[in-house]
Amino acid sequence: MYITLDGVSRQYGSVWAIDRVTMGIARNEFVSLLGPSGSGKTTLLRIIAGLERPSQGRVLIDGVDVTELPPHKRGVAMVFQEFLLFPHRTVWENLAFPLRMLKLPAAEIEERVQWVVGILSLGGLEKRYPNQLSGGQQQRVALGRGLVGRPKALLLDEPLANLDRELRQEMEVEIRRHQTALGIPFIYVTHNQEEALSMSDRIAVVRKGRIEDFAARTEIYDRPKTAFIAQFVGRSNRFEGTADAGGHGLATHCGASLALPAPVLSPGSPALAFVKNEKLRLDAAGVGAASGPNRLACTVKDVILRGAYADYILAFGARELNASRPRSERSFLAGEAVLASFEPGDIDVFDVKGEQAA
Amino acid sequence: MRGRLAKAATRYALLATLALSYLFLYLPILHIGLAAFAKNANFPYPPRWTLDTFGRLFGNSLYQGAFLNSLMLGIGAGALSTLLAAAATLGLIRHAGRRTGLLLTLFVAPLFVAEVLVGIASLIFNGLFLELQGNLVSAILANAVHCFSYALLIMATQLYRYDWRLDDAAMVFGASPLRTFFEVTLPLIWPGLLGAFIVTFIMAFNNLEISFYLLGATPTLPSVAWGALRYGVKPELYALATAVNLVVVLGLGIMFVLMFTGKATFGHRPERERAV
Amino acid sequence: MTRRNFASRAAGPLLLGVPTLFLLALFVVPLASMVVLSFWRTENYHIVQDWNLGNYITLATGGPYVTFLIRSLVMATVVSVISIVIAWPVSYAIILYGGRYRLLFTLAFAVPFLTGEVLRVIALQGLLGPLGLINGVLMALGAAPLRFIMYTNIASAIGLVYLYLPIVVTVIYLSLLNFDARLIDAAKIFGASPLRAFFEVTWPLNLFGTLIGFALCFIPCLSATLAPRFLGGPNGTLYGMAMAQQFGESGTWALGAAMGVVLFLTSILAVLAIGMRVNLRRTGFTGFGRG
Repeated sequence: MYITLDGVSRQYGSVWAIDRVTMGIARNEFVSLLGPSGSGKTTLLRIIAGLERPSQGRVLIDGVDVTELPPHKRGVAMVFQEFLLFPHRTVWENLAFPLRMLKLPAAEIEERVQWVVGILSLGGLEKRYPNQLSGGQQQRVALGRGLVGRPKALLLDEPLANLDRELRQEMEVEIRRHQTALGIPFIYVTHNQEEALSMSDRIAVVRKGRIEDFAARTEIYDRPKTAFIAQFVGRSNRFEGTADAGGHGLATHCGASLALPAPVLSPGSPALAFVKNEKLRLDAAGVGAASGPNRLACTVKDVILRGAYADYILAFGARELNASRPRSERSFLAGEAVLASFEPGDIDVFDVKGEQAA
Repeated sequence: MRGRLAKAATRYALLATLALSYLFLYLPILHIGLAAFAKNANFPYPPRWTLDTFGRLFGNSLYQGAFLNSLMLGIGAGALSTLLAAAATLGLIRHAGRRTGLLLTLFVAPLFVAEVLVGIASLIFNGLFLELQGNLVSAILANAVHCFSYALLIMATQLYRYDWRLDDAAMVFGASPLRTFFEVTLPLIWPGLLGAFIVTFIMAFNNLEISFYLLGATPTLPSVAWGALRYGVKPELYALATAVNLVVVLGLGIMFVLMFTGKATFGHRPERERAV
Repeated sequence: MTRRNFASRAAGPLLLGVPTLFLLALFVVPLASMVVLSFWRTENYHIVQDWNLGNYITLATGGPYVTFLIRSLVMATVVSVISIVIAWPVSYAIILYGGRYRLLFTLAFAVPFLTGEVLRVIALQGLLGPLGLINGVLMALGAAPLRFIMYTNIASAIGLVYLYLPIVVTVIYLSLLNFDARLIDAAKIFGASPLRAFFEVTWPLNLFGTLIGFALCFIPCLSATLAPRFLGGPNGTLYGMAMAQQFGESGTWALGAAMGVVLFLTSILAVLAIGMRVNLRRTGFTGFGRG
């Protein structure tokens, strides 16, 4: 592995902000650290950068143990959430800063800054000061400053959090493109699952200072390993219930009965199940069997139009369910009776400790 | 390893400079403080304690009158400059628009003109062009000029941090501008006002370089002390300086407690800090 | 126009107009009248309204005045530089190690500043004078007293540093407080050593604050009256002290006014010279708006 964290922990007082994290990142990988605020993901990034020292464990970059090295000797670069451009330096000087620190000759500095100005379309802004730039332009300069020194790795700390939605989506594509072109690892910290899903090769879900799971993005989304991931990634309907005698069915507290793909639960034990909103299929009531396992008779309470798809809020007895369907399908109106159904394979079941049962 | 050693060395060098600077500032103050309470005032080591010096100081009617005058000068100049500076700060932040730069330059200009020049310029204007004799009022006005800029700076550090959307919110919910000021703005900015008043009061109370030229025949503590100093230092002056020092420490102590327990943070921005 | 509308329209001119008038009447006009007086002359304690350049000619050619001015300039420069050299590590130490008691540490520096010049000169005489602490200790130990700290220019310089160090510390402290220390992190990430990061980021971004501190020390030092009078010796007369004498014992107000104009212009020129030489954008100057 190109970057290795080996049993890294960080203690603040009596609190373990990072708790025995071990992970490896390959040379070409785009990795996201995804977690709610306060989960320790930024601390983890700062430990890789050298801005914080782990209380225990080692950090290796390209086979070298850098745990004791200060940040300026690690050869990594970073894009900060608030950009942190040097306010007393022009765009050109901000971009040249990492190169001057590398003591490159002036001609090469010129050439490399020109290169980064080109790939980030910053032409014409070279002489401006950071406070004369828009948020999106500052973001590109910050990204350029991260790329210009051809670092061993680029660390990004919620770099898009201060941009509006449209700009964010544009930048997501651009960041991913630069990563592919440069072939260096990008480690991207975010609390926004859309950003993590859209760019990453692999996602590490961070919770309370631990890595909950570290896997390919499709794996994280489609086959969540823990109840926390099932809840945090994607939008799902959550069911609580008790396993039936055979262990392959679940009677929920809300009165539904779920058929599981395989007998995975011990009979009579409490369990949690999640079904992603988009896995809930909707049919007009009266088509096919009215009710049964994985078939829930509901009433449409409200419809939220999202453009390409529509979100339905359904009443199932006393509780609400959410379904998300493409607009190309038949649409329903508020008040209509519908049948919501899903496949056994679309259910993610966990025993009550939150460990995956399937 | 070398890095850690350099870091430790830097740390001790910085802390040593800090400690030496405090020693330099406070050694004379402590020395005269001891002298004021000692019979052997010239070299009170070890001191032979006495309160006679303070007795003579407080019993002296010249010092008593001068104290009252200084008090009025401090209150007058402090209140006037604080009120004007509050108006100016609010105006600058809310209403100045493109004239901000020009007005701010005027408002802080007194900082860049030596006190003694403010004093003699006012003396010339009052005496020569208005043909007014100096008195406490002219001294208050001239002191307020110099104090105004300091009050402005103190309040600006507070008010720049004030979120004006709170005012908008109050007005959206139907409060008049005046009502908004008293119900929302004032409760949030009063530490700045109080801080500015305390500082400007102390400055005017102790001022000599401006007041000297404008007081006419009115004695204040600094001018009486100046007069006495010309004939050599006496233990009464040590006692006077010590008494004022104690009052200043007390005033700043109150200010500190208020700011520490209240919401005022004096320009503190925790989000910009980093783990050192 | 409704009443509320009127109130909000009147607020701006009122809030800004009253302080502006106040400063014009009590600051700008008096300074202007000082300039006017400097072109008149004094005869037997009476002002004669007779436009002439006599005062300035006296100041430019008349013996000691040029010496006083040069001595004042040297004194003010030396004192300001010493104060800044001390104030930087002091403020930096407070920022780095002060923790939640930073404000207390800074206020502790402000106490002497607020005690007033007369009382601080008295305290300094207690330290430096012939019967003061330092010489008292030396004599108690059987050593000879230090002559160079009694009524000399060195004593004046120590006194002026003592008087104005607190304001320099306060200004540099405030500058460092508003400085975004995470920029140091950014510099280090991109390969700057701690020392390099200081000179690339910390120093230039606090240069504006440092220059303000320099000006706020330089200007009063240039016009100092008390410290040279009570701490300096026979060769210690500074310009401000000589100017004060024109309004006291000698009663030559017009000449004093001309000296005031010279001091005023010198201060302004010094500030402008510094201001023109540096590119404000490169000094952490955040403009007049919100920082």
